[in-house]
Amino acid sequence: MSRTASRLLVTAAALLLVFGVSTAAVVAMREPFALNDYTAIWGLKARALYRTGSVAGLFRVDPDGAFSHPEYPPLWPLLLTVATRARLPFDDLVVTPLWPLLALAASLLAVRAARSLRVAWPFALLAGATVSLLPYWRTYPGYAEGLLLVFVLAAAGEAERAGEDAGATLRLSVFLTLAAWTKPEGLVAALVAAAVLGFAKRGRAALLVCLSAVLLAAVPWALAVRRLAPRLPPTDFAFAAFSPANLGVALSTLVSEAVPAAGLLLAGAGLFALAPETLRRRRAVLAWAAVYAGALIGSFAFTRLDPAWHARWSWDRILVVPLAVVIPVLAEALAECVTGRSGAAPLPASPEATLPQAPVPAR
Amino acid sequence: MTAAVRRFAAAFLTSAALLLLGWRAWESIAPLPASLSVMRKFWRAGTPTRLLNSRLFRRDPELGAALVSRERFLPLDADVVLTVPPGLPDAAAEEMRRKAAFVLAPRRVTLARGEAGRDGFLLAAAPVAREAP
Repeated sequence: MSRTASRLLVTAAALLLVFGVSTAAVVAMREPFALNDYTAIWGLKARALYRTGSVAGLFRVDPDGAFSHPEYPPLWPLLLTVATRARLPFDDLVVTPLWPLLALAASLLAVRAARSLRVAWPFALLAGATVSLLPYWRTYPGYAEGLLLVFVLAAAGEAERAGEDAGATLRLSVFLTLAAWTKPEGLVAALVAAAVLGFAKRGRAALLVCLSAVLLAAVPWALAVRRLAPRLPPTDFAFAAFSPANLGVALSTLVSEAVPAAGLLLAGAGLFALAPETLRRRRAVLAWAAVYAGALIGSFAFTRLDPAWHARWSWDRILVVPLAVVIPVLAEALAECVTGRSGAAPLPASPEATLPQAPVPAR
Repeated sequence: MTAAVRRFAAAFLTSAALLLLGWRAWESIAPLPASLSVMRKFWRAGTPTRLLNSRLFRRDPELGAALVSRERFLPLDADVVLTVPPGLPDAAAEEMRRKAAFVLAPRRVTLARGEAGRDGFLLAAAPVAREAP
């Protein structure tokens, strides 16, 4: 690719990224957060935390766990509370600038994740722009997956070197532990990452990620729930509710809901089909995305709610996380198609014919 | 497949996907002047006005006004009873309870059925439970 083409691509990608984050900002900041889960869970808890200054307040507001999911970890409401401390009284509008900030952070972390795969800058920037354009940012302002995306993408930027670089392994564990403090799906992300690292023979990294997420997030929060909740909160899932029919209904709902996004999914699959080297190199990331999505979709077999309703209201929020993690790999696939080599491939004999590559980090 | 065809196919797929995503993003804020105007109004309004004009109370301004007013005076450790008419469907009653819980948090809001007055609801502090001696 010529230098001019590369500069054009960088400019277009940067403009798209700014456009994506700006539209997310306008959607979030034209009215206070007031969507379903925000009022029933996240904003409700933020208000309770703000006014009581105590984690116990999270359990008092809905002691039966009828709608607020008291068992959900408290990091997002805590962040909302900290943001609103800047102004009195509690005002949901003050927290809305957090949303474009999360979109920007997730986009830049996608760029970083792509760069960690040694994808050239123009394609890495395209990965960031794509993350900023994900419909999630304009559909669910105030929901917790925004923060979850930030932590999981931050972890994705460390995954390549985890197990080979102590700092990267530690940062990966910290980001996934923070993800587990954000939503139960964060714990799933950490456990699946540990399993994939284990299969990739990076046993120490797998152990650290697993122990960190379980001992520093899941267990302390489970103990806090046991201590502070007046009774054990009901959950949406139970082993006793297992039924293959539930899964069938959820899957058919998911397929019918995902039809409008079929073009985008086919475009992604097409890119991978055109870039076999990237597909081969990034099996671990793709396995993580597949197992994470499979585990969460499979959990519908255990739902205690109407499976069609449950899938309809959560499928896009479940799939946005693995999709965002796959986007940097798609950028690498695009780079392979355009430049003829994937990010990790050695430089050809005449480097002036291609874009400058990031230096390979010392191992 | 030649390198040129592969390059063209990849560029086409990527451009199409980005155009579609970009178009959807634009649709979410169009018409832009209206979005920016609403944004300005919300930022300039006071906290109660903002809350009452949020989508939470767009169809139920009386409940919103009553909640904002009660929120100022009810002590934080008081629980609240929201009385709704006996004929109100369960889903609508539960929605009202959630709205009340959101505005009045950390107070616990419970539902009761009964005479609900002209506005279709009554808000009152729950009687304090006395412990047995």
